[in-house]
Amino acid sequence: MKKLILLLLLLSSIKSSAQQKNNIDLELNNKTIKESIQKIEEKTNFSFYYIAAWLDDSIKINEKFIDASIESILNTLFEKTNLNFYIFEKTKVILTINSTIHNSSYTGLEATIVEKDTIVNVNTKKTTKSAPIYITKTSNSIRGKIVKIGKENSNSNQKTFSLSGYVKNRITNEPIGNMVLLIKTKNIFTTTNSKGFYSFNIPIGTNKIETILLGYKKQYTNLIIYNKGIHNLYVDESTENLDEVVIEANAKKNVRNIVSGITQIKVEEIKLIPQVLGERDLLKAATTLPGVSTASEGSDGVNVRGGKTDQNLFLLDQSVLYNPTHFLGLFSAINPFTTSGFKIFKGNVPAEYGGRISSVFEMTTKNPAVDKFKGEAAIGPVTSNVSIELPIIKDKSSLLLAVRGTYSNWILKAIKSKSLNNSSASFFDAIGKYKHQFNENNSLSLAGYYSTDDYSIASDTTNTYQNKILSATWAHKFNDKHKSDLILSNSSYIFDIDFDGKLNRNFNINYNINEYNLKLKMVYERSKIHTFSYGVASKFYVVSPGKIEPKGANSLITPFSVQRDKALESAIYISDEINLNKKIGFSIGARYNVFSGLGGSTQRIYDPSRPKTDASVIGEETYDKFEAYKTYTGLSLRFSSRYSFNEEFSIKASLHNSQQFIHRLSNNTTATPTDIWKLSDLNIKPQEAIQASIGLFKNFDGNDYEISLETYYKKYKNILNYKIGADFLLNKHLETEVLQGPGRSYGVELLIRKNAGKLNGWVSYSYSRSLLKLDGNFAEERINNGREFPTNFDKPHNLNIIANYKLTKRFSLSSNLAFQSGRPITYPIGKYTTGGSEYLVYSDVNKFRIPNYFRLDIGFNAEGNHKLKKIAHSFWSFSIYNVLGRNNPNAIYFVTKEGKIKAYKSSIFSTPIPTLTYNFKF
Amino acid sequence: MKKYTLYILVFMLCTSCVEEIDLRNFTSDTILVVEANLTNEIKHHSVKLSRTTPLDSVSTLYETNAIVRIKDDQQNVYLFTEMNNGVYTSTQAFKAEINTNYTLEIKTTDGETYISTPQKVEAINDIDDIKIKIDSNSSNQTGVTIYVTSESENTKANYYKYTYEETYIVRAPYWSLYKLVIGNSPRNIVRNDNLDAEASRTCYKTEKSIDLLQTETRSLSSNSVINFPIQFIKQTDSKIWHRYSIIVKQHIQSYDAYIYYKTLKKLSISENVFSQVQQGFIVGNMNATSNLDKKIIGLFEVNSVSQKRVFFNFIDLFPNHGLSFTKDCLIEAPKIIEVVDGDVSYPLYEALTVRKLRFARDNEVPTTQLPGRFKITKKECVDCRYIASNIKPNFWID
Repeated sequence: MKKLILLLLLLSSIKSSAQQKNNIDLELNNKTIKESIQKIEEKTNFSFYYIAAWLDDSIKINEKFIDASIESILNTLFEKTNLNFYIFEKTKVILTINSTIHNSSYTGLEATIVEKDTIVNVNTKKTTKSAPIYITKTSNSIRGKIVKIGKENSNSNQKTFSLSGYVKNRITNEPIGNMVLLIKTKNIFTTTNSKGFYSFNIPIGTNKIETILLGYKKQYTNLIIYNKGIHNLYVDESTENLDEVVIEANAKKNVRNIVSGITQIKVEEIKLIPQVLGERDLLKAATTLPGVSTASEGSDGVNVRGGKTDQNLFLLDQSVLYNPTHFLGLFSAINPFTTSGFKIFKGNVPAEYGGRISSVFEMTTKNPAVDKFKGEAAIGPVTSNVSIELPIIKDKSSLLLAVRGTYSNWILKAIKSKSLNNSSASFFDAIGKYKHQFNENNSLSLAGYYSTDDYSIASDTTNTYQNKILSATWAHKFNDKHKSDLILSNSSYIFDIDFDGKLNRNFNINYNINEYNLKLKMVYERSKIHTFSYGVASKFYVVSPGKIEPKGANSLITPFSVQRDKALESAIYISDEINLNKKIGFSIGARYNVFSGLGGSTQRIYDPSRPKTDASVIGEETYDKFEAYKTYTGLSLRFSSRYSFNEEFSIKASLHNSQQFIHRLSNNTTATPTDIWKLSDLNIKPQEAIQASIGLFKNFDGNDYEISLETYYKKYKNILNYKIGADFLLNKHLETEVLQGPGRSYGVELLIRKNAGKLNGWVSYSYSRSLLKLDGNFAEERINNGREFPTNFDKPHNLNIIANYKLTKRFSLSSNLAFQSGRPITYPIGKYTTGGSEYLVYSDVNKFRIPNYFRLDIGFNAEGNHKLKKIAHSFWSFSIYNVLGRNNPNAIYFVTKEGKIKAYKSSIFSTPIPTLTYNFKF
Repeated sequence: MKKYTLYILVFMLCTSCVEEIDLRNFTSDTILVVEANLTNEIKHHSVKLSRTTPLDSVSTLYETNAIVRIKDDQQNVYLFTEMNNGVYTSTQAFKAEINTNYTLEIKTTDGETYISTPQKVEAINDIDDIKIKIDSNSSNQTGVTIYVTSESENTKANYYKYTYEETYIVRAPYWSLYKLVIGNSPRNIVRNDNLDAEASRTCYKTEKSIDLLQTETRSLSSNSVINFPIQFIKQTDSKIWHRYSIIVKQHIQSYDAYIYYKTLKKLSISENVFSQVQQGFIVGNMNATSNLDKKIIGLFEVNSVSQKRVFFNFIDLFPNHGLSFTKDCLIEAPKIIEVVDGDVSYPLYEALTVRKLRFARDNEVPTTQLPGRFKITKKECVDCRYIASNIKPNFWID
């Protein structure tokens, strides 16, 4: 846009055409255009005005000019480019891209700049030349980025030009067939063939192309056609499922292809959300969208639509990532540099995925570049991040490697809290991906991920935790319609608690969960109407709840270990996406899950007429190695549909049920890294959920504004909750510490986004409830006397406003406002004395709430100046997290100290945290 | 393209992340609190009844005029009468028999009736040994640890609770029978030659345990409690400076009682920023009969008790201790009258009347630090009756 404005300004100041008559002698030997221009500048008094990036260094000029005019030299130079030039004030040469600056023609033409239609009526002047194409700043029909096609030829009379190219999936880079490309205002359209190729004639001037295909986001591209040309389009999948949030991490693709109006958060945008300690974070950005929240600052994991933290399936390249956060949830474990796709399915989950009942977070690592070496690095106050992309065999195979590390201990030292003074925390993660393209139909990807965290909160306990993932994926294409992926992977999560006090009770606890996963995924595009996905998947779990080992010769701890849990979880699935017509689309799917607890194992049998305690055991059964001692099966059905009233307004509805055979048990009210994962067994049943949702989606003004309103209702079965004061760590018989009961959650979610303009951003609001009911047959199995009560993360109101305002080209302001209802809490309502000590008496569980959470962050970004020859492009970013310095408690707790009851509130960041960041690119 | 991001500056100003807040009070119904332990000792057993109080309250609310009785499954009924402060004592001495179920019934003046589930003695197991060992604690301070050992073949004796009572000698290092008497003016202070014959040099002090001490043997290979630490006493703690005695009581609990107290303890220990135990109302073994929503706190516990007493002398454990037993008894010798910048004060008079110090010794050679005629010190350093009893307990062995 700026260039265009500049041109308009120039136009008004140019007085007349002036031809330079001084002819030149010039010899160019294998010179680039830039070098040639520099040579002309040296030899003559011409000066050139241009943007260096326009000049294609691959073009080499070998010419000898004798007594040639500047025009003829430049015409030769720019022959193979889409550059034009204009000479004014005798010695000044302006280079322009695509457009010609018209010298005299506009004198005859009405100087009015066309307001309504950007197609200039050629009849206004009887001329053999086509009229110049003016684009005004105020033109309504052009928004966002404009793609220019071809080189303007002032001598052409042609009114339509052919435009062709490929339409590809932005993420997978696969061609998309049957995509309709439509220019609505002119009623011109075409469809792509099976290779994704299209070609059609479109009129000169501005054109707005719309892409239409069920399963893909509608996308608008503004083009200015000067001549025939090629333009490839990249579009995003929308899937027919409700509520998918796409956060695209890699926004480094040619920005020209990106048109406003896609439901995405790009890394470029995440950069504008003020963040704590300057670390970009996809997971944190996701929590600013409706339906995704965290229990509190500094708690692990997220809650999606009132579900527990263990009900989210985090998949990194199809492999489970058990703990997606670092540093007690303050940073996400996902490297933003290497992530190309980040999708959240919070409503209907594709049949391909199972095993978790609330949501799927699908994270995709980008494919390393096969053409040239690339690198990226960041050095920060807390973290450092380096990533490289290394082609091994050009255009065939390449390697991606990225590592991130931290040196955050000094932050904890800076926190003036007795309990944190002796604390330390650090993390490290690394990701590697190797991709080899054997031929058009076969490729192999090998990926590895490793993360480790080390922290010590109470000074004598050191906790470490690690995620490890290894995976191999073989992608095979049978034909254009039939494709497969065979995935073999292993994921593990380990934590280790090392207690090294001065008493003779030193110990070491080690927990380990390991899963081996084999999956065959098939996609069959049968026709325009049907697309089938089907496959099988199987997972083998080994959980070692750990052992306690005495540490040092003086330790009195007796070694102790809890038996391993083994299980096999298998599934077969099929789904069909049915595109009946432009208006109606369905997606139906079914997944059959089989879960078997495997021996060797010893399982207790409890007296069913008494609560499960050590005292009610009536027997024990021992099972041989790999003997299936308990099998649970479940059929999970998925249905979703969409009806489009018109191109910009649709209604979607979905219904699905699911089962989960693994449970996360936490000793605390909020999740922590030392929470253990427990498999279902003889005494712990799988958890189940059913969800119905309905939503309205409306876009305005060519997708500049998006509004969505959704509502959902979920019912759960066998949700695990703990008995009061339960202890899960190294507990041989967890079933005696937990209760299982029904729950439900419901809510309304509203999202309003503005994607373009000086002020952009989004407002997200959700009202949601999450409730649980534990009404067993015995007093100790009842909570709140069997009445429904809110879960620990039931936070009805949740509002996020993210706003960016561009002050000028160089300066922008950003802000993030977050408001949440306070988390439920069990409060002491009185006290009593027994046995000489004073104790608290607690209210019903979660009867009260901690104060509401409110936080405002602001950021200010300043781009470096736009001097053309500057080596590095820089930008400053200054942000203040929690600018109001509000002390938002994440917990309130009570301690009996010296016989007196004291109340404390704890918070993670209670004062404003300013961060100044300097970035530069070159 | 390469991109380098350089964070130049960050300030961290995060101040205290944990702060104390005011307790909030809720006006809610008070809840009946029961403390009842029936043991296999023949005695007049007692039941304590009280009510919960608001968080900021300093007084205790006793439950009076309630009807309390224990029934067994042999149709025996033991009645309890109110003594004082919510303590109800059985009218007859009795003991809990093994293999007999007991229930506690309480009827309060508001008409509510509460009844326990039947409870019985799980098992009997005697304390075998109590050991005294010189040890050091986590802060590397020297002291004494008291350990209990109880070996058993009884498979039902799995859950143990310990209580103890310690009795120790308190000595007045500046014991004196003399007193200073104040005459008709603050300047007129003399040593009274009429001896205070009651003033004691040696006294006995008894304290009960407060902590909940529990252990279990179910998870162990043998059903024995070996060297379970009852308590650690620092060498500098004056209670072991002379002669010390402890009686340890071992209760064999039921699983339910064990869990109840364990949960109670867990909910009252300190926590850190990143972890909290799920708090909640702990359900005991008593219920309201008419209104199921009516809460009651506490446990009716029926268990067996065995006890053992040991004595030790400080000098036997630490013959070369090098401690000064008078370090808590600072000696002063104030002037009778002092004039500073024209202001007249009477330091000795003030020490005796305001700070209640007592005569220790005559100051034969006054110095600049000790200018007065009399050496005085804290009253308990002269007469131990101020902090303990001078009556030797019956069980005491010198």
